[in-house]
Amino acid sequence: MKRLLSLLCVLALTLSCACAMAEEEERITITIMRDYIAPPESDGEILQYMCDKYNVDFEIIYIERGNWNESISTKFAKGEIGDIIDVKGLDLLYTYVEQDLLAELPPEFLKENAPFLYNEYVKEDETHALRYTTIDGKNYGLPNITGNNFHKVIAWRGDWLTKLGFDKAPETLEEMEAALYAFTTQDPDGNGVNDTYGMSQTGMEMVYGAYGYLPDLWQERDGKLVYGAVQPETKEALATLAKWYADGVIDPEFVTGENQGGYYAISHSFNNNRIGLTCLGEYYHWKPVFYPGDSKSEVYLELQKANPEALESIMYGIPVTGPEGKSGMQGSAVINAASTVAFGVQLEDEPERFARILQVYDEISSSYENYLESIFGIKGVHWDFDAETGFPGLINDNDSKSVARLGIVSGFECNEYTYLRAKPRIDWAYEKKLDVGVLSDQLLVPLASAADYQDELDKLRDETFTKIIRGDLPVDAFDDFVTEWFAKGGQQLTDEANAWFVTLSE
Amino acid sequence: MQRSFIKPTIGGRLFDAFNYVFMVFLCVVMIYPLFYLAMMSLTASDVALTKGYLIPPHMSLENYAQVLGNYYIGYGFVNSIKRTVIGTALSVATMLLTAYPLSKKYFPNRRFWTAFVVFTMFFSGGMIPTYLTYSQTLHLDDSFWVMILPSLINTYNMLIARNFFMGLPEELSESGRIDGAGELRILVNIILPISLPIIATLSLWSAVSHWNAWFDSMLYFSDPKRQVLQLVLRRIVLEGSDDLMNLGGTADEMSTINPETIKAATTMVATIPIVLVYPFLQKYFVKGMVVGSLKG
Amino acid sequence: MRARPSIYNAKPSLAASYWKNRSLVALFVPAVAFYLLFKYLPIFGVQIAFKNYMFRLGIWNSPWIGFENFEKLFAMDSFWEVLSNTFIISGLKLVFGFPAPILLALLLNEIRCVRFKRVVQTISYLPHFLSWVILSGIFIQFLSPSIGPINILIRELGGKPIYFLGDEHWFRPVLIVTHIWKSVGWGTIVYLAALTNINPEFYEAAYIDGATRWHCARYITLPSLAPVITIMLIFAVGGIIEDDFNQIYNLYSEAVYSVGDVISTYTYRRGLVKLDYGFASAVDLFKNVVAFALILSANRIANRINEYGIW
Repeated sequence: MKRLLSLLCVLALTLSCACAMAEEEERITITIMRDYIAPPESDGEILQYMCDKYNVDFEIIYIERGNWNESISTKFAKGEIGDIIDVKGLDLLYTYVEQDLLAELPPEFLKENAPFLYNEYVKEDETHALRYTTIDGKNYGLPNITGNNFHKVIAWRGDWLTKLGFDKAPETLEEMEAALYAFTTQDPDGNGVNDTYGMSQTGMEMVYGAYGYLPDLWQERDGKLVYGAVQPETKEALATLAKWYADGVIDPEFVTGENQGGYYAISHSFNNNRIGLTCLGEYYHWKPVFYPGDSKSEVYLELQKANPEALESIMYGIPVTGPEGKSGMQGSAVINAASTVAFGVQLEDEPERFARILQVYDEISSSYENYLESIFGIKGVHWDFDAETGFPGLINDNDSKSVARLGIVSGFECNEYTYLRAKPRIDWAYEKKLDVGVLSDQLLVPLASAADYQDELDKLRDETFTKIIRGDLPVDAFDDFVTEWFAKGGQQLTDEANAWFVTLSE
Repeated sequence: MQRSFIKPTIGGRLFDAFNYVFMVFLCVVMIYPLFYLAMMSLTASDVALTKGYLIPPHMSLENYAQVLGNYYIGYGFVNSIKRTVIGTALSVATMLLTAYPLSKKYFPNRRFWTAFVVFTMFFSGGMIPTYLTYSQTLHLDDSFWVMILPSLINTYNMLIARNFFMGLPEELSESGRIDGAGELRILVNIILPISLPIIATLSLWSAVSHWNAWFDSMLYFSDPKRQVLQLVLRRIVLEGSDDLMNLGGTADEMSTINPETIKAATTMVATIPIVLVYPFLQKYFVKGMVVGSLKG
Repeated sequence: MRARPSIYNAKPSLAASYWKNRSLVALFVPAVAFYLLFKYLPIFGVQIAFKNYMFRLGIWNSPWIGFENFEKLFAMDSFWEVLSNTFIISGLKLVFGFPAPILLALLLNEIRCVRFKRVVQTISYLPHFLSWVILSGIFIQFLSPSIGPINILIRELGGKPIYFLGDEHWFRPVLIVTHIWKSVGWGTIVYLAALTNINPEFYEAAYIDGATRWHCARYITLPSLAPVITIMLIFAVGGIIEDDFNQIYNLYSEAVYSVGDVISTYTYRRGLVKLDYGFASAVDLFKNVVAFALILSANRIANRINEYGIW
């Protein structure tokens, strides 16, 4: 009996040792090379918490934000490749793949180990979001899918409109023209001086859109991709703009833009009663501050200080419709290619660890609260749900910098969470109809020849269009521009774009 | 310039008047941006920035409070001061030790050694090879000395010091040699005391260079507590600029922005300390040191 | 060359001369160590200019591609345009910007009130410390066609406002003037240091002989500055291939690319150097070879005039 007992003890001991060893073996290390708004401390409170909760050793390798490329390059040169890497742009993704720095992430592998994330990325059709990160048939990462497809704000001086006899923001091109002319000629700010204009640089996009094509987008026409700047409709848009400029409706200094320094989204021209229409700034710049701790709203706050009457009377418009009933402005794109996440090439040799990493991140991202923890820290210590509004917010004097310092380990955000977190502002954007009339770039990948030609072609386009609008060149110079554009590489780009476009329908 | 013996002429007086007026004009022109920045840094947060003001209607120190309240600013100051003091002292000493032999025509293979030194001004390995050499081959990664040693000799400045030495009369060293002194003693006891202006110049250049440096600190240190002031300040300025970062979705939409006023305060914090150093070095730019020792 | 005292007339062997001057040579030893370790050791990295540098292969194992990087550089459509812009802008900065600190130093030297002089000096150094990121914001406003003081003045005088930063004819002058503004004060330091070494007895003697202040400046002061001026000038000539990236990048815009785009801004904008360190290295090597050649020429010319060149 004693013997049996001692045998059982030994067995139990061995078993528990084995379990303990197995558990210890399971605790893997995950090195993170992602964008942090402040350098995290290696013994940060939040980092420890996350390590304990998910039973892994997260290790953060800080990359200097302001010198991202140099900083990450020296790490790569040293041989330090993170397990998780922020890739700031699809062109960089291509470069990293060429340099053999990334591990392939087959969609099935993702599905197996991170079912929740898989479902987010691969919605209705087979390889939805992963198309962006697929190079030569292999997938190399996960794009950021949380953008909202709103165009920029269309803000009209409501007080000027009312004063001059308009009861709502213009909806058609004719109405827009009438309003702009009135702004210019009828002294809407009532100061007796002829110092107001209709609009400046940012109002032009709507005009192009009213004819159907935006100058820097690739859009579909008759089943093919075409570049907006060289479409015949663009010539009509230019003619309209040139006419307006000649009649003094467009601010002559539009070339330098409406912002004169300081925060880039603020329109000095608009704030200082110089123009009556501006489209500078995204919805989160213009939205009011909805609750204490609500961030952004830069334009709103500045306008409140600088020109409160303007702020109160703003009428939000929609992209005006042109003669053929078309309209549009560029949307901010649902897929944000500039913040892709990729995985270091060493993981190709460590499939178990790779699987485990995906599992961990799946866990982090699959529940709203887990996700919030991953970006804000410990509930009740660094953040909590606001008692009244129910929104998550940082507490105890924390801000995004302080929690970054304590070592947050961000998960992947899905659309649902975005909405939950930012409901008031997103609702506001819908209310202001910022989703109406959105045109998107149909070209989703960088073109091989873009590096060679795009810059020069853009320069050609900008110079020509500016000269046409200012009257330095006649509108017919557009035709020469088109010929030149195709000859100097535009044809090449169009062919490449369509070669890719065809593969979409396969 | 000793002027006691000059008889003032009308032309001379006119010139002086013009000179003074010109200098005043120069001061106004040069000081304007700093004044603008100072005003900007003192602007309270409830003032609209889109309206241009010469003097802001509401002034406050809140921007400075925010900058100086940054978690790492204390560390930044300490690290920078340590680096600047040690780095400048060692650097100036080394440059003088190097410039002196090169200034002597009897230095063996003088042309070769000069070429040896000048060549490095033009040909270098580039950022990555240099980084790999310093961090791995020389094991300076994460070491305080990586901020001091690689910049010990600035060849450009050293050659200017060399030319300065070349311009000194040979009789000075001669007298030392006749007394049987070795080169080091000549350098320290005879040459250096009359070279205070060039020493002050080298010190100024070296100190400013160390004070403003941030790139090496960024490359070699990961612990934010070991970073120098300029890097801390740079991060403050860049913390909120989302035009830099292509953050997508609500990550971008959640970041807070540091307005122009903070940037201005940051610049002031970075600049003022080093600007205050100059007055202390001014007294070394004093006339007649060469003459004095010749006569003596 | 001056005649040497007799003890130097014998020409000893090399080793002997090292031994003979050992106390001098000893002073130089730390420098040799420094240059070998910190400058020459990393120089092996220059080879990546001839390679397709891949991070994972490292410097030694990355594949050789010969002159491909350089071909890519010369084949850039705007290469000749940016190269000539670089030379023109730097050349203009040399012509106008090199004498400026010297003149200012001489003028400062004439000021008798020491306090005033010190104040002026300190203020003149201030622009040096401000980065172009900050300064560009200020200059853009200052030179604005609509709200900038200069154009307001022009308009008051009945003229048409000039879009300085957007006009191809004005952009380069703006670069030169702002460059001088920023660097002239700081540049006087070295000349002021050199001025302290001038023996006042020379001036006394000159005055007794009836020289004016102008004569003194021209025949005593300037020649005494010869050693310093020479070497500064040689360096400045060598620097013609360099460009002030920070200045130009922060002030330029598409409207002035044709006159203002230089090598560094062009390659930066095109992202050509983003992760292509081989190419970046090739660009640097090209610039450095040109600079070196320029310095050798400048040095040779300087040696004909006086003996204060680099060699």
